[in-house]
This record gives sequence, structure tokens and C-alpha cells, in this order.
Amino acid sequence: MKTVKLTEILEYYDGILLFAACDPIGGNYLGEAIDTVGDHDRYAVVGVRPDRMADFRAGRVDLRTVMLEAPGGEWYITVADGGIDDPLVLEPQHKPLEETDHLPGGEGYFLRPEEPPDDGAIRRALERGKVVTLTGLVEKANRSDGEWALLTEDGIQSGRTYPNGPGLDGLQVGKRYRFKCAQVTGLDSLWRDKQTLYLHHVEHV
Amino acid sequence: MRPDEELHHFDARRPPEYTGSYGKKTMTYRERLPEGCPPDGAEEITAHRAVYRLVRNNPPTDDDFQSQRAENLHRVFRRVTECQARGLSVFADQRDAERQTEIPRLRGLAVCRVDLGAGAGRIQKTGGSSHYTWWPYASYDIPTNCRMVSL
Repeated sequence: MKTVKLTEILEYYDGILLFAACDPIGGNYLGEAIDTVGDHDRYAVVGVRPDRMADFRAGRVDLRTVMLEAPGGEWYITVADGGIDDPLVLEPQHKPLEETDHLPGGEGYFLRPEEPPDDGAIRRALERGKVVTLTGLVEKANRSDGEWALLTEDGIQSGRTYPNGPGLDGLQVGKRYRFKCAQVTGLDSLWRDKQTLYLHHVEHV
Repeated sequence: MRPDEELHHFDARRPPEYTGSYGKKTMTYRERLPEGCPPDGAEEITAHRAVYRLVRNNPPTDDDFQSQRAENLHRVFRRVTECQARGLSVFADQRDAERQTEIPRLRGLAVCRVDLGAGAGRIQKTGGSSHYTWWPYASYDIPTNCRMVSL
């Protein structure tokens, strides 16, 4: 009996639509919601090579293609009928996946990266005094994805930029800066609460 | 309290008990919510914004705006808190809503635009792409503020 553990919620709409999972020996799997049976959601699950999982996450390959590339054409059905953290039991299927109606339709389903919060969330955090001021040496300033890290007296603190906030242009790695950040409450990939720091003001010190 | 424990205490027949506030007015949510729900990170809707939801009916009815919990009292939601299960999924970007109809479980659903404004409830960015969870107030007439954008 093959089981996998859910590791990440990739897409959600009134329930989990797409998830990433791994088996006990580290194999990667992708699950797609196909229907609801009684009280439980049913998913088609395929094994995915790590490089193709990375491609899917980055939006470089569509869901249908990834599902049809499953090693050996193997695919499974799982019913989410256990407890919240129970492993998912995979039932091997024999009918070729392409002969079922379990593949996504349309012109190609590509995963989209999470959008940063809107200005309202940043403004509200600032109004509520959820402001963190950090002083330290810039460790990372990635202009392409807006991620930054600052080495402070309390260790490395990291965060992101937001669309109408200051960017990372001109910041020099190893130089000392003061960052004023809005602390916004959100959810991580397993829908646990997480606090993210969004850069609101920066000055060289 | 774990979501399954919260579920044990849930009785859909009881009237809503948990309230929010808009200005000085106390508002009642459309569905009973657990303590601490919506979370602190949820924003009170005070200005106009459009969101997109998948619906079964044309024109949309109240049934299209039931939470997962209201639709299924006994379902176990993996990794999802009871608070989220009692909110409504919506997207800020119409294309994200349309994209989801390619997933087999949502095949055949249509997209409607819901215009939110003051008194609509609270909303929080949750999950990937432009997905939000919306906790509507009971007094907000959703179908009236909704129009189909794709069939």
C-alpha cells in the first residue's frame, strides 16, 4: 500500500485543488481534485520528477503535460477521508490516464505565483503599528523576485518588496541599511499563519 | 482547538453568534464562525472592490455562496482551519477564477463578478495566485451585487 504525505497546497478553491506530496522515500507527487464523493474529495495523483515539479511550480510547464509524463504512466486515486494529518493512501489505476476525464482541459493550466498583498494590507499593518525596524548588513537583494535578507544583531531577517513600495535597486550587498517594514499576517504553503515583512522605507546608515 | 474538535461543537441550526463591526455598528456574519475568526489579518471591506467566484446557477443564488462547511457539515478539511472552511473562496483576478474551471472538480462552473463595498464583510489574502477568503456579513445581499462574466 503506497502512501504519501501532503507537503504543500498549490491551489485552493473551496477546498484543495492541487497539492504536492512526498512518499516515505522522498518521491514527489502531484494531486489534482477530480470530484467529491460523499463527504470527501477525490484526487488523481501522479509521480513527478523533481525537475519537472520545479518547472510546474515556476509556471514553465502546464499541469496536463506533467500528469502525462508520470513515470511508467502510473497514476493513482486517493480519497481524502482520513484525519487532517493522516497520510493519503494511493490506489493504483490501470486505465491509461489520457483515456479518463481526469486531465485538466482548456488551453493549459499553468500555476501562477502568489500575488503579494494589495496596498490596503500594507497600509492597514502600518496603521495598526505592525512596523518592524531593522538595521544591519544586506545579505541578499534579489531584484527579480523582490526578496531581501538583512544580517542584524539578532540574526538574519528576511522579507519582500511590494508593488508600490521601495525597490531594491541601488542596495549593495555588505553595506549597512535601516529597513522599516510592514509586518503582514498571511498563510504559508500549508496554510499555517506566517508573518511576512514588506519593505516600506529604506535608508543607508 | 483543532478543526475537527471545532466541528464537533458546530451546529448549523443555531443562529450566528460571532459578530464583527463596521464603524460603530455591530455586524453579524452570514455563518457562525469559531472564536478568533476571521483572523486579525482579515481586512474590513470599506471601499469598492471586485472579486470573482465560481457558481453553479445563472443567475447566481444564495446557494452559490455557501461555505464549504455549510455545504457539508461532516467533511474533514485537511490542513484547512475551520475558520477558512467557513469563508468563501474568491479571486481578485478574473483570469484566475476562469483558470480553475479547467480542474475536473470545478468543470462546468461559471464565473460571476461580485462587487463588494462597505458592509460586505471581511476579506484576507489566502493561498496562491489571487485567491482570497471572504467572510460576508449576513446583511450583505450577495446575489444582487453579482453578475455573470463567463458561462
